[in-house]
Amino acid sequence: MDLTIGSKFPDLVLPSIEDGSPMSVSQFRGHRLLLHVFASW
Amino acid sequence: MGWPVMVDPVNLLGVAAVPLTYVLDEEGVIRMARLELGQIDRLRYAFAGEPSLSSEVRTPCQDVTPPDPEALRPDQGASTPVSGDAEQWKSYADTLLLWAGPDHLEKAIDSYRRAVNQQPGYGSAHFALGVAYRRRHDSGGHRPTDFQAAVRHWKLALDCDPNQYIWRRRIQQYGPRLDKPYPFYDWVVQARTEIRARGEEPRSLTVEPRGSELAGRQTEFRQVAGEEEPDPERRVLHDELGLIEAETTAVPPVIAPGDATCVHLTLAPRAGELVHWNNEAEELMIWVENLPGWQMQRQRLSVHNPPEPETTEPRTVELEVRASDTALPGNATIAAYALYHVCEESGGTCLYRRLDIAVPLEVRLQS
Repeated sequence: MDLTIGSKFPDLVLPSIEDGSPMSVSQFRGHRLLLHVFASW
Repeated sequence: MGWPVMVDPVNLLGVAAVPLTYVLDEEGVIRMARLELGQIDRLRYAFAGEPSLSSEVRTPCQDVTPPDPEALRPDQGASTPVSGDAEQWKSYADTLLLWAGPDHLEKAIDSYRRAVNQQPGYGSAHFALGVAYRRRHDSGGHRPTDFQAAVRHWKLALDCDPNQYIWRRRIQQYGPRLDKPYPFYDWVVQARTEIRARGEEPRSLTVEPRGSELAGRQTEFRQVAGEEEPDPERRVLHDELGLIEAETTAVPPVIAPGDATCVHLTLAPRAGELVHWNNEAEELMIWVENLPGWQMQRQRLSVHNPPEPETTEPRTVELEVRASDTALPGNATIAAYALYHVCEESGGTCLYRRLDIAVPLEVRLQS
């Protein structure tokens, strides 16, 4: 996946942590986003 | 929290480290990457000179539907299965794993296997296959070999890309207990002991800690000598009814001549019925046969009975096994057997039975 400045963020459809419903960054078109990628170990 | 959070269980995003912070514009284009949270004031520069948007907080503007797995099936419409493309099979498997539900784990596993069979160096497919096996291991449809298969494919994934930190930490979390930075997975046993000691009954867990508590080999190999075999003439009757089931896991499953592995044997009463351990009799005993030239840390192992007269918990023993320095490459099987007291049902017939167990290993010149 290309995550460099100037590229479009990948349009992955992933499950929501709350209820497993599908979510994607593309749902938020028209908004500016602060996107934080993290993990729980 | 109120913030939307998406879950990426097989790292489709392909990141090799966390945490990472990105700033995206209204078209989804990355304006800032790897922003450190301590530098949040740099956000002002991300859109400098551009008109600001409405500060009104809005809900997501469009619904999203998950991809249809069957639309991604590489061999759909073909009269016979075609070799296809490894990436196509992985994409199909990813979609099954994320969206098709636990009933389709079988298909997901089969599709990941097709991907790695076509492309043995496909690290992300090996990692995802390990995740799928681990999920099935935790599900009602688990098979005794699932955890071992997860361990094998996770090792292959890290062989492909040893610097994939996300895989490494995720395997550490869901895989064998290698070098946990904290004794997290031991606390369940300790907590239950303390709770029972004060006269209370511990609550049952939705998913018992299975797999993550299994350890890899120790750094120092010590062998116990002079142990007596409990049933050398095979006189104890076999458990023909399958009242007790066994699972075996070796960490690592592939070793070089002279190398050691940690073997875990787990025995449990058959699920879904009233079969239980009879704790008012002798404790569970396990004997491990020695292969010529190989070394066993110990051959005779036992599990003490809990105080309750009848229980159904899984019981695990572990031991180190070292391959002969002259072991030939190929499959090796360690034979073992368990002797135990088991009852068919509450107040029912109690039996003393033997279960033969085979632990498969593979010897390679370079593990």
